[in-house]
Amino acid sequence: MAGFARCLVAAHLLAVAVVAMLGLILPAAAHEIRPAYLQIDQTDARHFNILWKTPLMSGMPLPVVLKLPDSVTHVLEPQERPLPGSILQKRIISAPNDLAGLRIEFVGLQATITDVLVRVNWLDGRQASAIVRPSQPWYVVPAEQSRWSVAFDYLKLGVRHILYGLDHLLFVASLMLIVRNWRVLVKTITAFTIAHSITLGLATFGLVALPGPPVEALVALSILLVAAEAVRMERGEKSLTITWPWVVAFGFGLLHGFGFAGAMTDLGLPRQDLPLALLFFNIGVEIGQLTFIAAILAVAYSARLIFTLGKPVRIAAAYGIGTIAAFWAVERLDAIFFSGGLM
Amino acid sequence: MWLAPQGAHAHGAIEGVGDFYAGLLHPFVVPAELLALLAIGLLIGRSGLAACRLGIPILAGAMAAALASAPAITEAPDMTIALAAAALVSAAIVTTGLRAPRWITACLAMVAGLAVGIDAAPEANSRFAALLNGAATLLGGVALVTIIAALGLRAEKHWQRIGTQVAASWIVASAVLYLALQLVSSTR
Repeated sequence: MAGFARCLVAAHLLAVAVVAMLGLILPAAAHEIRPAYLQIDQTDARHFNILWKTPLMSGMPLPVVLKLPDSVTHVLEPQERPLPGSILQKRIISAPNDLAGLRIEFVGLQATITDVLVRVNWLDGRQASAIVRPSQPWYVVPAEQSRWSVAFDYLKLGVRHILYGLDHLLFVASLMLIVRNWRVLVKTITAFTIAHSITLGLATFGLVALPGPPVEALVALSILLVAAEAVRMERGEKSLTITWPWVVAFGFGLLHGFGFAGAMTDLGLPRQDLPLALLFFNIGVEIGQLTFIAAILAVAYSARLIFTLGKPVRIAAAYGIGTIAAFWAVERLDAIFFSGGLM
Repeated sequence: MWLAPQGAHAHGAIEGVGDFYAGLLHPFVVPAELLALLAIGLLIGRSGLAACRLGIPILAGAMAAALASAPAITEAPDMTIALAAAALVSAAIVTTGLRAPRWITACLAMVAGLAVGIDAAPEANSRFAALLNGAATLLGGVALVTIIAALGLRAEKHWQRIGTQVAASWIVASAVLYLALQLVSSTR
């Protein structure tokens, strides 16, 4: 038991180091990386409506330009409209051969860490979707697409979403700080997983809706609270969080699920793809989360074999997490109350 | 086959994963760095707890110093031979089962740390991005060595010791191959 506790403390130090680097050096990166979205709807044999939605990053537009092939002609030139947190661009094009085989480029995407979700809807009911990554910033429209391909794309989106969702990772790290043994760790992570899956599903299907900015502020406050509880635990005090961490993990997991849902609901995906997309997105989130936990524990277990970590170090780790969370909380509350972030 | 094509783009940035993950993964995807860190980890792990407690901070310090001095280096030297040599010597000590004095393991850790740090010098667009990239490389490299050293420390049973020696012999073979490839390519 004592060995596991020391291992977890080492895990925290590592997690704090990882997240502090990401979170404090690039505060904007504390929010989820929201993908851009390209939707192409066929309206008749040769015409297509194009919807191109790009997220704002710290108030700045994403530096990515949509480049269509030369064989495409514009019937309606691009028209931009600002939305809360994003910019929407619409145009109408005329294109040959159902677009099949045409290459669409996203100029500048390679310099970002943002994905682009592409959906194509043809009049005959065929659909195609894909996630375009910065490493290959183009999309070749297929004639047909398998459902496994769609599922795999969403799986990868889920993994990326959690690995760049630093506040969620820090919450998991802060939970590990108050967990004393393997059994409680498994219970706590399972409770968190079940809870965020529930709200992710409800929010994605549109059954429950919460505005993003307050959810993000509450997520930051949840990390701060768990970090404060960790300090209390080191002082020998008792509380609900310390005694039953899985209860708190479940409660806050419901909140974090709304955060995960943000990336999916923002896209306004067609309903027929939602169950498959949701399932594999969630599996991807779990894979990412478990990878993070496994990596941190592996290093922590190794470090505790070599170095000695005492109580002052545990308290420092909790204060480190709390400081980062407090910074995010103030930043997000400021955005809500003084910058109109709720709109 | 694994070594030859990778050597040509050993310094290529990992695109599309961001500066942090590109830095974190750098020691894992550049074969010469990976070989050197695996070999040093095995060596200090097999040399005992005191060697680990000395070797890991020295490696971390050397890596940090090299990464921090990267902006001052206008033309970074090719560290492939230094990395392969550090890997070769470290892994050969483990393979032969010799007990290296602590100062030797410390020196090898310092050489490997400096070589990895120079080899992985961040090629980022801004100072912040370079800082993030370099810090992540340091974290990834030290984490890898810590895990391998712990595995070496825990290898107490006979078959485990044989296993570490077999792993080290593979590193020796890979490092020799790497050095041979470097020699051939430099004489052409």
